[in-house]
Amino acid sequence: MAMRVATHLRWVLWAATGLAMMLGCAAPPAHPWTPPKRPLIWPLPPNPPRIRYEGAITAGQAFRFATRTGWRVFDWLAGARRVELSTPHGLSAGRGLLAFADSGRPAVHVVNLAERRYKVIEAVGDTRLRCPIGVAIAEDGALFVSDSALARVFCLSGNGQPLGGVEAKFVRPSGLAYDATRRRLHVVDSGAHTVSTFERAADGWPLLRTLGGRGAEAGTFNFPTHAAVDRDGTLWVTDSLNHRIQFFDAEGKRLGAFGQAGDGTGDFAKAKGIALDSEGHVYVVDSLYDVVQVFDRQGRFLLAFGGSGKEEGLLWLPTGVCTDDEDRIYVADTGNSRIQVFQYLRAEPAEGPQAP
Amino acid sequence: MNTPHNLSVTGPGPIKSPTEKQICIFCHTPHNADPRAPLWNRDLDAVRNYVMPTSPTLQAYGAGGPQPDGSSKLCLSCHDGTIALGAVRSRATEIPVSGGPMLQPGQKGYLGTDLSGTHPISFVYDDGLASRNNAAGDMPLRFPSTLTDPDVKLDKQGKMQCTTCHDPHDDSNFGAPGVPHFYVKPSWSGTCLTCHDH
Repeated sequence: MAMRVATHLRWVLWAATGLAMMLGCAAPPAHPWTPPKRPLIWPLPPNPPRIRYEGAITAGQAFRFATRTGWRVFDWLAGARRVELSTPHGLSAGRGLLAFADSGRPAVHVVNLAERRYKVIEAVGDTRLRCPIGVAIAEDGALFVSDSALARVFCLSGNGQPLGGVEAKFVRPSGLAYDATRRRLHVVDSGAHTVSTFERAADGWPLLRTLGGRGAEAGTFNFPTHAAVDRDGTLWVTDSLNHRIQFFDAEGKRLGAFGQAGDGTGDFAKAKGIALDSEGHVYVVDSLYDVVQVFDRQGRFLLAFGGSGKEEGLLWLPTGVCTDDEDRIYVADTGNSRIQVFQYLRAEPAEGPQAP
Repeated sequence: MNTPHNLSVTGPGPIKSPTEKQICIFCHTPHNADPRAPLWNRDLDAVRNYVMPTSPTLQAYGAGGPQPDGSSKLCLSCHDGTIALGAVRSRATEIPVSGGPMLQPGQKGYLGTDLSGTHPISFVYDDGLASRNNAAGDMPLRFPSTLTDPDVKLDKQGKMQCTTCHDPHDDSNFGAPGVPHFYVKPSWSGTCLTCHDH
């Protein structure tokens, strides 16, 4: 009886949806983030603009909520579920998805940008998340999640079903980076001071190699927190309490490092999230200075954007950062409980040759 | 400085380096007298020094808002689930609090895990707050203007911070039952009852 009532209700709702679409009120906005009240760019003129503020996904914002296929319309009509964000941390964008870990809630939020659907993952199978930090989206839509309190790295299918974890003895796994070309997952273990690389095999994710160990010398780490991987397989690691970024080639050979402890522009206090755009610029979040610092692949300092505060474009204890294939930069503005979105602006060819 | 807050590679742990001696720089960032110029920004004021979180100008941003500020920001820049877990050690005993200062289940917190039972931070503790609390019939608070405790202190803005109850430099009180790391006093009740009038 209840099922028949539900079926009838769905037909009514489908009809209402059709009416709403005809009236033109069902067209979703182009992006799920709230656009800025005023334009913001870095740097200011007369310098050519490089970074533009796009908007924010904030706590309380509404999304459609993903659930069983047949019920999507119902969910949409019933009023979109609101984003209950607490302290966003690691992010990953790809395949039209934006996923972010929320250590405070604790949960992983998955936003389908194209379809404006949204879901929250609070448990993997029977295991409730406790402190999710890192997320990574694989080329087949699978989602990796690290939980630093559970000392686990999970692998989930696109609809949230557990696919079996990345089995290894972790101490405090945090940042994740996924290399879709080589089908490799890099796991930063802040507690073990290592970065471990797992490679896809027929029966799971066997360990390929582990880099680091605690130290201050080249190739060792002191509380590494985040990592990013280039198209050519170069692995960039935030070696947070050595106040430097170290980078390694796809075979694990160390290529170099940049950064130092200090309060000057280009220095690090608490370097955290790291990401690269399509031109290979390296974005490094600093939790204490509330900025994203941009470097080239040689480690030369290019720009800082953000700044301390709650207003649009400003940051408070930010942590993770990721980019998408359109060179948007998503920053986990952790202390402000929001994701802020920026756009990298390619240099105009008419600008003339760059000074060496 | 044989405490968990010695984060250098000479700190507690199996691996030590004879070269690493800078144990303070993780919180007390060295001043750089020669900051780097951003190649994408030729403005002279783009070359500058970042403001450290204990500066009064920066604290003003958090005023009235829920964000952790002041020295607590420094703590949370590590205690975010990566360099250190945010989880606060459970107390040995529970005390009854009705709508009092403890965060209730589901309330927003900043330390990265369930903060039920955790004390809020970065709020101004003044006599007005104590009066309002006491008038509401909650567990009574002492008037901060009467407090002279040498260990349990508010910051220069009159705010409760992590450092009100924790001294990040001194872990000598750790070990007694129920006493968390870096506590400013050797007992849990001795710390809490500075402000809470049992």
